[in-house]
Amino acid sequence: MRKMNLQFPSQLKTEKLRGAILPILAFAFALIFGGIMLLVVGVSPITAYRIILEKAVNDFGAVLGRATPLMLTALAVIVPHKCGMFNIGGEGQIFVGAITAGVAGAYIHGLPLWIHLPLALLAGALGGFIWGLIPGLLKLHFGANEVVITIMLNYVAIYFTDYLVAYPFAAASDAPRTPDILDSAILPSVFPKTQWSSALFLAIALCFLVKWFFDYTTWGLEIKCAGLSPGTARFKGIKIGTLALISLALGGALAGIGGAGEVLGSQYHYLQGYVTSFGYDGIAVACMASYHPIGVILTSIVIASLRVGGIALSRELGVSTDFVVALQGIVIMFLVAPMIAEAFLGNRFFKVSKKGSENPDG
Amino acid sequence: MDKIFNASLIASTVRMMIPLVLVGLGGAISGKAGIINFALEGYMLVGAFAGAVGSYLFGDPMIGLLLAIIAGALSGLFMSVFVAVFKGAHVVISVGFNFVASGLTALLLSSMFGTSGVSPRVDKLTLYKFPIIGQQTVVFVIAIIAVPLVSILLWKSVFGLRLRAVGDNPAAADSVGISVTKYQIIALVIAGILAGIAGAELSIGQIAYFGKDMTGGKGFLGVACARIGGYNPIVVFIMAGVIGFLDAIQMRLSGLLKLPGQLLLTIPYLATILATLGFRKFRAPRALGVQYEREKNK
Repeated sequence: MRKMNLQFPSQLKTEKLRGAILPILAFAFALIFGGIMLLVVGVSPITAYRIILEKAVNDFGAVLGRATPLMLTALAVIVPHKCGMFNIGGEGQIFVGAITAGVAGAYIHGLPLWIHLPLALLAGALGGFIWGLIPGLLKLHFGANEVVITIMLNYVAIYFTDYLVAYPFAAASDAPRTPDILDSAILPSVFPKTQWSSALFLAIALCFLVKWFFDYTTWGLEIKCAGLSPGTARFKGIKIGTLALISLALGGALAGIGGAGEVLGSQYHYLQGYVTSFGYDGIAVACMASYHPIGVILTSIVIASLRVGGIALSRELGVSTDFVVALQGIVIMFLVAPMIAEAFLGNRFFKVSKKGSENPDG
Repeated sequence: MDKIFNASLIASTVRMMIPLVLVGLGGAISGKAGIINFALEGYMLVGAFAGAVGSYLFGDPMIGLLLAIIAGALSGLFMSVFVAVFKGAHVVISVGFNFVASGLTALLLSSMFGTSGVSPRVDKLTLYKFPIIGQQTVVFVIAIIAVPLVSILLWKSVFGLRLRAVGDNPAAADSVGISVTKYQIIALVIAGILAGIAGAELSIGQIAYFGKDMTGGKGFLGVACARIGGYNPIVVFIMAGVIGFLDAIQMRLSGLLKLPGQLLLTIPYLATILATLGFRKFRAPRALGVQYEREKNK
């Protein structure tokens, strides 16, 4: 007997609530699991979590600064996810976007701010767009699996940008970085002397734009249709392959803007390895937000708090800053296996619908 | 040309390909059981760490290898709870597990050795002299034996028949009393063992310490070998050989051609992408990636 999968309003409501409560449960589970890990290495979990929380609260500007690119790399996961794909390529896309923005900001001379800044942002978006377009094209024309290709492209992007900052675009500096961007490409800051830049507003605006894109545009609707029900989409004459290409490339562009925002808004040059792990963190942010474009505004702050707090953790207790990566991993694993929540709580509230589960093998 | 193509190129090709062979075999077993397993990268990292720790604590790299096997098996078991028992989406679970592996090894590294980068030097596995292929560790022997062994396991044993049934048509397997969950758990544990050994080869076979995130995509390359090789151990072995050869030659070229090393480092990854496009005639298990739940799937 197969269950009817009609969505009555009450079901929709529980679906939405589930999307909100499950991440909280997952986070609690991760904290418990992380606490056990900390106990094993002889650190009091309560002290450790207190340090993370205090640091995140006291240094909320840094948290917002860190959350900004994560929102965009999370959107880079969400847009292809709506089309039934899983984009692990945010890491490579933010690397490429950051360096193209840095190069456009530093090497194009003689433009006024109102042309140069959008141009540099666009360059970052274009870099990410191309890096997302490659797996899209390979998927469309060769049927290649986007997960494998995006993973490989991450490593290609990391080594390739390392090459670019070491040779063609190297600054006269000891550090491997591009030259400082010109004043005309600097993202003006609204509140000076804070650790977050106006890229935050851009990121939040893009979250709403993505929401609008999926709710009110034909492309958005078709992408959702292709992701939720490929058969229906094919029947309706929607070109699934093309939409997959578009959604991967758009996701790449969003991650690219994330890199551009870092370079133009807070770093003012591309430093080798500065955006490391931002792309992977985006996956955790997107998962925690149940792939909801507005939800990432909140969850990016949670993950950014962990990251910022993790730095204090290593300073005060000598625990590796990367400890928080394990917490993110547990959150992700718990969230995509919601039957765990069912098993623990036995509540029909957590009944899982197959809706929106990933398309496993391209 | 003599400087590139010589006897030591064969030796370094073999060294580069051994971890890929083992991880690729792990990928083949997971794949045949219907699991898309990108977490092999994480298993490998855990194995590399356990290998270095075992060698450090007991002064014997063989105990390190043993610990790596145990740690790999536990990694597989841990992930199987999420994938096989609670039916999570494979790719996302894999990504999550890789996070856990990265974070956990970094945490243990900092608390055991007080560093965030690399562990102290530890004893390496003994090198044995082989004809043609030069000096290799015991892991080489394990890898060479594992290829036919996994082939036999998959195609000539009852276990393999059932495992492939689980990967191809879990509902049919389930209907004749084969526990999909059980077979997937076993597959992941075997994959974990193989990837754990591969990780030990990295940390205590090739270099003599553990470095944070030292696998650097080798696990992913192995998984790609498995996919490209159609989850067939022999083809996986050949694919690993090709990627290993490119990896070995890339290191030589950077010294000789005055080409920037960073560009040459992209070669194995680009080659993997090209190979993914080229080899598509192998049929993947039909239920690959399906989160089978009794009487729930289509």
